Amino acid sequence: MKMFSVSHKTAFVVDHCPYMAESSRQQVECDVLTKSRGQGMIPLAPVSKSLWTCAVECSMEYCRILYDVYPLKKLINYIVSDSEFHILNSWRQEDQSTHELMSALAAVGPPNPQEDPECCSVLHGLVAAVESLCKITEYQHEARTTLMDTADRVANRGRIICLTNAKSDTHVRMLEDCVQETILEQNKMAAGSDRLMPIQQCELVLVHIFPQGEDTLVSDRPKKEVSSLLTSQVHSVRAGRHLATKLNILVQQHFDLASTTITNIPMKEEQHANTSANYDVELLHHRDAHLEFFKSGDLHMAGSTSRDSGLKETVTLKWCTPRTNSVELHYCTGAYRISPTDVNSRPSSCLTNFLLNGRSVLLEQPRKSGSKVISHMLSSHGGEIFLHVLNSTRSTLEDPPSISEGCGGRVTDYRITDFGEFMRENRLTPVPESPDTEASGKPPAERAKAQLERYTRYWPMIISQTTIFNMQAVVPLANLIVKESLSEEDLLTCQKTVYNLVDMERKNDPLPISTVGSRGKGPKRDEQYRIMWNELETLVKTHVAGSERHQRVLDCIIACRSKPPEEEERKKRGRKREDKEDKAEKNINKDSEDKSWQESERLKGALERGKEEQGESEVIKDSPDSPEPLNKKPRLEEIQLPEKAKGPVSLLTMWTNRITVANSRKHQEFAGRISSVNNKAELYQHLKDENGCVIMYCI
Amino acid sequence: MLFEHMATNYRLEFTSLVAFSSLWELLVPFTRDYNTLQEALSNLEDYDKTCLEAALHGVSNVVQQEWGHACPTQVIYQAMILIDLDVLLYVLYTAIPHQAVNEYIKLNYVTNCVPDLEIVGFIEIGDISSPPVMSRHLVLPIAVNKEVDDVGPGTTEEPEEETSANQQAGKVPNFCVLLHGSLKVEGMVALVQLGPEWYGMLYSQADSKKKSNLMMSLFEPGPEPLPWLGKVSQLGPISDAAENPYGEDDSKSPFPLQPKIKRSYAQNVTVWIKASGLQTDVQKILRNARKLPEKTQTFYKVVTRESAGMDTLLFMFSRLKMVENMEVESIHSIMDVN
Repeated sequence: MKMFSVSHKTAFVVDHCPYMAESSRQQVECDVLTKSRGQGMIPLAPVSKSLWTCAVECSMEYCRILYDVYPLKKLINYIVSDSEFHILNSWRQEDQSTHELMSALAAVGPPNPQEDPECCSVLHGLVAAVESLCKITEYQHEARTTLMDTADRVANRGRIICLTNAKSDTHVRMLEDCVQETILEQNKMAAGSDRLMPIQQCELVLVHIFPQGEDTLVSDRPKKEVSSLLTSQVHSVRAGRHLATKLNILVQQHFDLASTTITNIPMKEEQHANTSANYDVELLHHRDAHLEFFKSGDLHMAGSTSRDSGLKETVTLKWCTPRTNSVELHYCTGAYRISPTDVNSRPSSCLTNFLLNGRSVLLEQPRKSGSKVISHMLSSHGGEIFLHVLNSTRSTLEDPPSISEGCGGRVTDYRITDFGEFMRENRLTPVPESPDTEASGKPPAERAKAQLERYTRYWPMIISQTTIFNMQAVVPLANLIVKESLSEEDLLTCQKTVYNLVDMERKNDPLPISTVGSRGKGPKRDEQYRIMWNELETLVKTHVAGSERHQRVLDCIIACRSKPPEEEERKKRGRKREDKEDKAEKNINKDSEDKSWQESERLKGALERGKEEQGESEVIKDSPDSPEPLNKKPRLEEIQLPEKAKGPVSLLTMWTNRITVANSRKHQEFAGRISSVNNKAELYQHLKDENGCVIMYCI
Repeated sequence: MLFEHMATNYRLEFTSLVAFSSLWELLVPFTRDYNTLQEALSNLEDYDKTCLEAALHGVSNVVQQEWGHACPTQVIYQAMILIDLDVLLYVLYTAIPHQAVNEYIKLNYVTNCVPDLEIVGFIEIGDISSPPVMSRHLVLPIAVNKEVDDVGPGTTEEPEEETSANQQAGKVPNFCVLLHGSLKVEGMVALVQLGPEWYGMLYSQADSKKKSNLMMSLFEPGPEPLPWLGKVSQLGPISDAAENPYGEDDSKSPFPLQPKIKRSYAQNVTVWIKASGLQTDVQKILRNARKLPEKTQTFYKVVTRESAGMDTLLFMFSRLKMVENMEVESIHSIMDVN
């Protein structure tokens, strides 16, 4: 399928020749402005706009609607033609705004009636428009560069809307022929250029404008094929409101728009603040917002009315006064930008301001059966108003089982609040695109995912499964250890947290250990601390690969907790042993861990220096016996690091083990791969399993 | 037989029965009541000939009327069962494939083309603000093996192990339940990625006051499914920002993104196609002109604001009478005041 339709590029060619200065003869009453004046004033005579003014106003209205509904990728090139052509903007996206065009038009000024009519022609503009259509837009360029091999899928098509005052049907034919010839000429030139593309299809829309009260010299003609490259149509329209209506219809046809009229909008009257009257506001938007009506055949029942002898249709939807400001997620199947048909009218601006202030309005659709259903919603996002299509058909998700009835539904102590806190910390924010961030590697979303991975490496789901996350004292460390990198200050904070825990243990402070599932009072105090230290180690170990400072936090923990387990062991079964025996055994077995002991002593020393003497005496009091041999029950049994494995270990093995451990923590193996035979797994095994649980149901 | 299988395995699927030959007939509209379907099937009579095309049209009508146009994105299963050897009679059944995504994900476990569901981050419901979605899915937790459970949950994936001990399963902590609870309490959604440039969201949806569920909605595939969020690949963790974009007290939000150029209804545009538009704008200037010279500042402000349009359009008038009159008017006003 080819990319870029005819509506990607629209060239406006507006006739600026002396004859366009002629009056449209549609009068604008001005005396109404001055009713409150005193006597003796000169009454204001009505004014009428020139053909040029009408053409400019109506074409700008076309642009306004287009830019409202399609802020991107639908481009306009505005060209004015008199004795030469004036291109007012380029295809570039930043040139696409009505403000830009208005300023450029102000600089052009009205047609000069004194100019020599012989030199002036709309032809200059038409030739310029064809040339312009050959120029590729930034979007076409981007698509061509990214598609590479299939760059021929990028089409170059466009539309020329010419607003002029033609002399006759022959004159119109002459203009068509001229465009046809120019296309052939330009296509030859474009074939050899990088920045140009031959025109594959061009739609010429000639709008002949003539003053009111005159007969037209040019006949209307529907679209016909001039050649395989060019189609042409002629619209003969009276200046003034007829022209405005015509261009409004054209913009709808050209860009697949449809009209919705919101009825029953209650508005306070300016004079009588207590009363409110109901108003209607017409909006234009992409016609897909009415898709449901077309499909269900409800279109005409939905209050669709024909106006202007069937040329224009609008669907009527009824305003439902919003009750609350509550935020909720509606099931919405589409959202389309809108543009009010009459943007400055009081009802329109009241409605749009209401929406821009953050309120949403539900809209009701009358149905065939006479029943009513909420089918749409108007809501603004960042200064843009969207018409949301709400799902109003039956849902396949009738009466789903509650999550509390499923797996894990009967667990009552989930860490809901903690996970909520975690979610708040992992909210997203838009990061401005800049060459710098690209250079720094990962795109923001990947960094967000990496952060989630780090934060959840160890994250117990229920309160009774964890000790450390129920302890205020661990918070500083737990918050810091998940960081990608630690500063020297962070490291100190972590170490302080550990020392603080050691201190707590020495003081025999109670721990928030869950007693669920255990009889009586639960584990003894020293056992509680053993559980706590194990858990803390598990948490920190999942991050040691992060940086050298992460490793030092772990070292600190291992060092600081090294005594308590010995005490435990000793209390349990070491009392009968002889001191000397123990000492000898210990010396033999401790060789491999000398380093860690040294570190431990060093850190302890550092800690002890800051402690009161009481602490010192406690340690002594608590340790009347010498330490228990370590080999009887290795402290780090379950969570032993590869480095600590017995016997000589090669660096490679250490590394591989470490990576495997790290990787296995990050993901669960695919069920298919685990149960696969020769790398082939049977699909949909749950079909056979009567109790099979299906993860997802689709509506 | 087929219905029995479905009744056992897909209790929540909707099935309808359509019989067809030269004509088609909806025997049973979409339902979860498999007994009704069975009954209707046993009451089927023989018809004249087989005409699949008509039946497919019929099915398309039935689906559209019942579920709306958003449903055709899903495959309609067809099965033909030969009931009698003498008379060829086809029975066509349609089911809305609830587990389409599940299959999609499972398929990819094996082919390894696309990784599984990944959470990118979290966004407040007010910020994501009723986004348009192409489909909705109910996410049901399934039991995870005990060993896996001990390691702690990988938030970035859905548990896929299955166990027959469903009764036990209710008591085993499940990440889906935790996620659901927190999303509900915090009023947030989890932004998930299904594949390259394909995103969706997980959120809690309440069916009634008691029942509530974890749901997943999928956005249209593309790098920027919602204009008010911008490109999803450009959404980063708040820790990356120099200052918390939500404020210390959650008083602000980086969303929605503002477009570079305001829409016409959000700025002062000059549209004088209708006489009233022109009259209102001129009146504004005259009203202020009358208050000269005291309100000079206000006058200039109004003139400047209106001037963008004025400059452009005033000159276009073929007759300058009005402008002349305005000048006279302004002079009169100034004189009146003096």
